[in-house]
Amino acid sequence: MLSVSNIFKSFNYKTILNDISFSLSQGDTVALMGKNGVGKSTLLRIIAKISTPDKGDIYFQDNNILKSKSSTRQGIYYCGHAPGLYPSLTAEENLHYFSLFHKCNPSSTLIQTTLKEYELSDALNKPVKFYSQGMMQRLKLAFIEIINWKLLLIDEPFNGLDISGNDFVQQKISSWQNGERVILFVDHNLERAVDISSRILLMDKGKIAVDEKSTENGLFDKITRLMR
Amino acid sequence: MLSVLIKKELFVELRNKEVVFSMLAFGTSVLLIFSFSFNGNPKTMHEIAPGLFWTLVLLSSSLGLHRMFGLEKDLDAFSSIIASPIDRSIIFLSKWISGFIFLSLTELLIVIPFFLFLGLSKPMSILPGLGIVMIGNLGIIAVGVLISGLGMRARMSAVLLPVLLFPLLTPLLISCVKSTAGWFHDNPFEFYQIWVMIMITYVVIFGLAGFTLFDQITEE
Amino acid sequence: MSRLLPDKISKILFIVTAILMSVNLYVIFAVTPMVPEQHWAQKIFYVHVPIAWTGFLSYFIVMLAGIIFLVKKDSKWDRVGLAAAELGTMFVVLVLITGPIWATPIWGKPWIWEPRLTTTLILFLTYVGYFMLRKFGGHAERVARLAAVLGILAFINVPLIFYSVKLWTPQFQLHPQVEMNQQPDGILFPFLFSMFIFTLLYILMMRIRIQILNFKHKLLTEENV
Repeated sequence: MLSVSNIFKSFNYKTILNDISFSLSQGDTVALMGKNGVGKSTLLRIIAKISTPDKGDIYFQDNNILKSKSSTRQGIYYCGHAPGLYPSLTAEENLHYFSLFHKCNPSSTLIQTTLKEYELSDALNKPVKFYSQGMMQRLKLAFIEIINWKLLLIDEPFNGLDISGNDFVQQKISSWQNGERVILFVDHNLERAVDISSRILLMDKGKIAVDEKSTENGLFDKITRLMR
Repeated sequence: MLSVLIKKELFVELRNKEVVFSMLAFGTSVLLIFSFSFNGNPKTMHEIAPGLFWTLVLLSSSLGLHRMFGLEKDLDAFSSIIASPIDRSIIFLSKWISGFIFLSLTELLIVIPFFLFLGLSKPMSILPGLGIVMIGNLGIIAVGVLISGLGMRARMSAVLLPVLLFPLLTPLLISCVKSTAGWFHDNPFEFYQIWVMIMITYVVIFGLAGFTLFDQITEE
Repeated sequence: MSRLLPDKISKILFIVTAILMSVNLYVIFAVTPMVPEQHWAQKIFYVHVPIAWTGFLSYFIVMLAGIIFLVKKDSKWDRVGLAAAELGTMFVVLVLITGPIWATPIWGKPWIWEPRLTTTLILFLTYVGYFMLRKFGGHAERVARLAAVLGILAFINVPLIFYSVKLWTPQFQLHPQVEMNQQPDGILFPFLFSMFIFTLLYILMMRIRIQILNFKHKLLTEENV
């Protein structure tokens, strides 16, 4: 479904991504791992077309999204570190507009029930600028529930969550994977990553150092060695 | 998609009133400065009014434009927008049109105190003046959206914006002032139509430039 | 020296330009006839017009390099654009200095809103912003893209500025150089010669500047490996 080929990216002529290639197919839930500053977020932002690679191509459902019309990117949803919302709009309003931008039109009952599930119904009519960090995080996840996507790029979904939040997200990620979608998420916790994902990509020195099934023997040691 | 984007811009502005309000508040204080600094006789005021008007508009618009992209940056909504399957040129158009609406609205609100404070007499006809101002607004915002998009992720973007914007706008400013003066001083249209032509050319050129180049400046 | 002029072409160009420029200066000061009413002041035109030409040529090259950069995404063209922007701005500053030197005795005041001089001034101000953008715009790859766009915008604005300033101040005639082809040969040929030499000088300076920027770039990328 997604094929990333020969991506190069540098900042101030310092190479961050040095010939990154991999492809993901339907049903993959992939953990993207690596040390801090190795370029995981940059890679995600490049696939989401927020950032431009210096070289390379990205194919999504057989279309080169870097060179074709924006409509070929429909189905990709990116959830980054920043909330990516309009601070003065309420959760519902933000949801309304961003789902329209992704060409889906959720009913207001769906929005209501989802927000309730994510324990945001109290804050339904509050502008998101008054939200706490945790509420913001939950709202971001509620977006994933409502917007139609085939490829989800999610940057550190467990960042700043307590234990119950952690379990919640973990369970959510497996529920999102219906066998036809692709989820690519960034995580630092190896045990958790192995738990959730079907495959692990490990970036090291600008390259994909490990690309293996999560069930592979000896994967744990190999990754721990490289992460150190 | 364009209409959804514009609706979003208008809705956010309706909630915040940041863009129009900052332009209006700033514009009014500039107007106050004008009233005290140019306390001339009515004839002189009548003479220089078009220049004062466009100075006021230019100064206020740079503030409004800065805010228009500022609220995209606060919680990084802009990344979410450009990650959506929307053509960047459509994003440019939505910003252009909504910015045009905000600026026109601000002018509408400020034009009455402008006439009152500076002691100007009513013009003979309203319509040609309205047309000139609309074209001028289109030009200012076309370049403005491009330049503020260019500088939005830069350090010192608040300084960078006017420094880049004003020189690029000079030909437009000259023709805005000239055609507005032509209309305001009751000259026949033939006397200033050339200036209106330059304004239209400017709008077309920079509108096209924005439409084609916006893609290059949005990505980080 | 050998670092700045590494190839044969640059060396030859350097020698040729040095010789011809001295000839040019000699011709300007000693050979060309005095124009009766303008006396020595007129001589500055043998320098003023050629540097104005190279300045505008340089800004035109910024635009070209910008377009090629946006299409090819090769940082080489960003360096060409930067070199041209720097040299262009240097020449344009000289134009803005030499213009008033001529204007003071001839027009009686140092500055009037003559269309070409005004266009030069506005371009110069645009490029002040250009260099600020280069400094504050973010990481190098992003700045390269933004600068390319700005270089294009700055130059497509030129005809608009020129035309509107010309209409704005109809009372100011253009420089006498408009009628240069009607000048006597004694003035015309040295003038064209000077144009040619300054263009050579510009090409040489561009080569050296691009050389330095390439060298800097190489150092930077090697450092990062």
